[in-house]
Amino acid sequence: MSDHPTNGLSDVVHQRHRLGILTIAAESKRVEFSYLKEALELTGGNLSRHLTVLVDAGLLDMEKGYDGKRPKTWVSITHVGRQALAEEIAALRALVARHSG
Amino acid sequence: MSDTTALLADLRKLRTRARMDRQAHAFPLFLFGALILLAPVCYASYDPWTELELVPNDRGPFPQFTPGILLKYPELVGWYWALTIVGGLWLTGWWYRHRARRHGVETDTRMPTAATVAALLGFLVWGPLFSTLLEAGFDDFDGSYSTPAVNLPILFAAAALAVAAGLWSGRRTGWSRTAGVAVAAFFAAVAFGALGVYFSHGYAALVIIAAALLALAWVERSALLTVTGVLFTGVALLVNLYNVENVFYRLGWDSGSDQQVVAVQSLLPAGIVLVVGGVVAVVRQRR
Repeated sequence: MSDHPTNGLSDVVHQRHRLGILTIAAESKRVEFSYLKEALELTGGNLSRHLTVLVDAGLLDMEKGYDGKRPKTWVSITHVGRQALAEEIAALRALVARHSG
Repeated sequence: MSDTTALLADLRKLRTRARMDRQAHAFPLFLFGALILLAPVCYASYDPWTELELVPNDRGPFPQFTPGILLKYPELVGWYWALTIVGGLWLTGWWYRHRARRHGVETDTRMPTAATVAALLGFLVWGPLFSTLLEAGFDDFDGSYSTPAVNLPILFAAAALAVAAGLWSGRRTGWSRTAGVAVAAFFAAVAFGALGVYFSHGYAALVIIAAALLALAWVERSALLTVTGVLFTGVALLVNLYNVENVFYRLGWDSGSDQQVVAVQSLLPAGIVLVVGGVVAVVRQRR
């Protein structure tokens, strides 16, 4: 008997906003903090907490710098992060397929 | 289950939005379109009736970028195309970084850059290098790269390697994909160079720009840029392998022996494809 698709869900990734962050990061070379904040409709504090979790898990890289005098925080997805996102999406799709099939 | 379905739909929307926000191909389309349309300015030609004895048998430092006959300043034409590719590539990279700073999301242009540089090397380095090696290795080699026994095996082997590298890189991500595409672009340029050696139209720069646009379309996941790139590639191959001035002659526009008019007729369709693609991209972005 095959594993239930929920076994493929990761505790770190399986959260709506973290999945959103990883999805946007996977679509780009790098993405800026304020873009994520606006796209995901999150407060700065909330977004920071999610980013810290994802960076600590090795799923994102973070790079701080300046554009002129304005501080900028850029995030990019790691190879592990890309893999984790792909696995999570596959597990979610399998879950939907199992219940609609 | 509707929660999971809704979550997947939300993620799809986020991905589409990020993709639209990072697309910035209108600028390179206008840039290369304008540079292509301006190129005929460099194609001043000798008058074959009064100046024929002045025509030198020299195609300048970039023979791949210059037609073989009657050009007054082949060096100018060669350098124009070399700088168009290198400068256009640099400006495109700058544009994507500049736009990322303004919009907060950046397209990875490493793969198109690597593909363009590899295609440029394929055209500029391979032909002269291989001829030199043959001359050094075989006493009876007559220096002619266009000998079928020499360049047809190269054409088929390079084309096969280009296809294999392209298929391999399609299943990869990151640096391995970039490397695979660069290898594919290099061998595609070598294959085309081996075929194009029978023709001397001198528009290899258009093929390199086509490779850059197709690679950019891949990383941007843009249907519009893909369509524009494919159309442009078709036009680029046509002007390199066929005398486009014949078509214009049949339409009533005779270029005679004026190389500037031949260049206008050859480059006009390619330039128009890019400019129209750029206009459509701007209109879509503003909606």
